[in-house]
Amino acid sequence: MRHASDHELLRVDNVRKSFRTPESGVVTPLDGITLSIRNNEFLTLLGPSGCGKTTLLKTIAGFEDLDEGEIYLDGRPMSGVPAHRRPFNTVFQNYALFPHMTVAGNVGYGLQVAGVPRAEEATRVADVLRLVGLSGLERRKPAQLSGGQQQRVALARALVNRPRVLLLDESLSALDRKLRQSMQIELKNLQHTVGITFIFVTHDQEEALTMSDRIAVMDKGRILQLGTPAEIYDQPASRFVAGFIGTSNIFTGTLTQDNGAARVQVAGGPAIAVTAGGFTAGEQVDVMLRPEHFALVPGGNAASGSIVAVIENIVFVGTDLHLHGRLGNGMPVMALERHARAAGGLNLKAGQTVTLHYQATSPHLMKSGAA
Amino acid sequence: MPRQRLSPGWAALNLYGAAFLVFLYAPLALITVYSFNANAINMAVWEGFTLDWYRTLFGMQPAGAAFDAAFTENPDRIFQVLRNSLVVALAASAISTVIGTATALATARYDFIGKRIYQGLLFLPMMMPDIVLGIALLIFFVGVGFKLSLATIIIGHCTFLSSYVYIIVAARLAGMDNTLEIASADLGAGPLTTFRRVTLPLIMPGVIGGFLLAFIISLDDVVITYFIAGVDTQTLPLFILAMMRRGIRPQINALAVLLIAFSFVVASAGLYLRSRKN
Ligand SMILES: Nc1ncnc2c1ncn2[C@@H]1O[C@H](COP(=O)(O)OP(=O)(O)OP(=O)(O)O)[C@@H](O)[C@H]1O
Ligand SMILES: [Mg+2]
Repeated sequence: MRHASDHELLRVDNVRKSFRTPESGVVTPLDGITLSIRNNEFLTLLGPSGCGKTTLLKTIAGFEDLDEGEIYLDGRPMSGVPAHRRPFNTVFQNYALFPHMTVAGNVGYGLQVAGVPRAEEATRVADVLRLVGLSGLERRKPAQLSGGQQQRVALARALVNRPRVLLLDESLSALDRKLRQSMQIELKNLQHTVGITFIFVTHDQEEALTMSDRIAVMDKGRILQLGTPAEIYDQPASRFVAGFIGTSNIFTGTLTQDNGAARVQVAGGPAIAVTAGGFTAGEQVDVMLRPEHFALVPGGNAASGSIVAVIENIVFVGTDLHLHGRLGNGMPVMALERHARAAGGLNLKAGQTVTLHYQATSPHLMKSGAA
Repeated sequence: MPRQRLSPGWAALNLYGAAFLVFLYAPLALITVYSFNANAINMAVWEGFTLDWYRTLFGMQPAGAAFDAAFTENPDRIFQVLRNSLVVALAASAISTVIGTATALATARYDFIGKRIYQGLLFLPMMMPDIVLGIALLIFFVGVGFKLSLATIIIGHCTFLSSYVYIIVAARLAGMDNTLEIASADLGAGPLTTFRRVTLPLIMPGVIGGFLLAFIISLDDVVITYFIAGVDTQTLPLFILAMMRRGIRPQINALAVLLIAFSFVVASAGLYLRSRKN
């Protein structure tokens, strides 16, 4: 069993990259990215479409030159090293399978190029195809495969080389839920058994939370926050990050202090009791409350540490109910209730007024207007 | 749909299609028929089936018929011009294929200053009237002191054949995803391996198609070759032209039919390879 060590494997140092676009503008998908990736780590890049995730992977792999900055592997600068000499493999967002080769030919390509003996190649190809569940399709051409099968060939083609760093660009996106979960487990196993470092791009926040040792949330070519999944979830640095992972209620207001009781006064709305560590009275702040922070009591009984809302919509999602409501001033709010509890006597209905209680330690404060 | 098929418009379209094919192939069919006609004086009047014209073409005097020696071609001469033509066509199309493919790769994969102008100039030799190109080449060869020979024909053919190959291979490359080359590099393959194992196999149908087209064009080129061929380096089309000066003789029909058959085989192979996916 191997674990992410503190040893720094890859360092992305103040990397900048712009493209000229046909609209006669300039996009800067990498606007000063600095990132330290540890040996054997599973790092996920998360961010909206077009924020520069693929471009970052391409610069690491060596397909794009940098405008500024440097990438180091084990302290060695990579800028003079062409892509084919870097011990990285990529699973491309569009798969990029060789159409004129069979599945076995695609997967074995890296080994053939590296001069691995035929017999070893055959066993390693068979092994990795079994791993991704494609045994028996060795002789098909990519055009004869489904999208999900093609994606798994792309995964196998990269995995079989056992690279130091594996760059995955939304590489599980085309798989159904069951297959995706089993591939997630396989990748995590490989991280520990083979000792591969993963840089993983996904749009699926659940996947990011379950797979990652650390998550980097990106927007417009910058890294907004880098931390463990729990850090990102519990202490997002900004409204943007909070909005990107999980569901959240975010209110903007002014921090007030009176007799040691800190509150955030939402303009035209409730005052939310908070613990104000690191912020000073009078500051504009964003307060985040996760839906699961609320304990629901029927009836409108506003007191400190609670807010009153009217339920508008109840969505059943299995174990939980998602309650969409509105505060007195019309602001939307979302709460979570266990289905079992709600069914057992609460008898929630749309139009009902409820009080949502929370612990004073639950609200998370963020600088207002922070990127 | 079946109703539509019976409509007058549909019938007219079919008729037009058939008429067009007749228009294209009637002369070829006629010459084929003539080449087997025993009538030596007036080939438009059928006098019975014969293979004599094919025989005399290769110097075999058929027995029984009244042939004077003038009707029989010198086989050495025929084989020599045939050899000349094949040498020129093979060499010129091979060289043009290399040049045209390399050019297509360069324009598809790299950006350089003046690329658009460069691409435009590549089309020009195809557009230029043959007679202009022929005269220009002649003046050039004479100017630099090249003795006209097979080599000058080969060089001359390369100037315009490279354009044809370039256009066909460039079209093929335009349809090819260049992330495949990136993927190959990602898997550890150097530029040469990537070219040999990924790029070349994928553009191969275009390369072969371009080669065959160049081969056929070179094989039957008259105008340009006429200017740049030396006195003693006749190619097959020039030879036929010379034969014609002595009157249209039945052997010409036989030779033409052989050429048609050969072109047909090469063109079919080219079409087949181009239509074959990957
Ligand atoms: N070769 C290029 N020329 C011009 N602009 C480019 C080029 N490559 C990427 N871009 C632009 O750079 C930005 C970042 O692109 P990138 O592919 O890195 O996004 P991404 O984060 O991977 O998005 P997605 O989640 O949709 O895959 C986009 O605005 C894109 O339009
Ligand atoms: Mg992308």
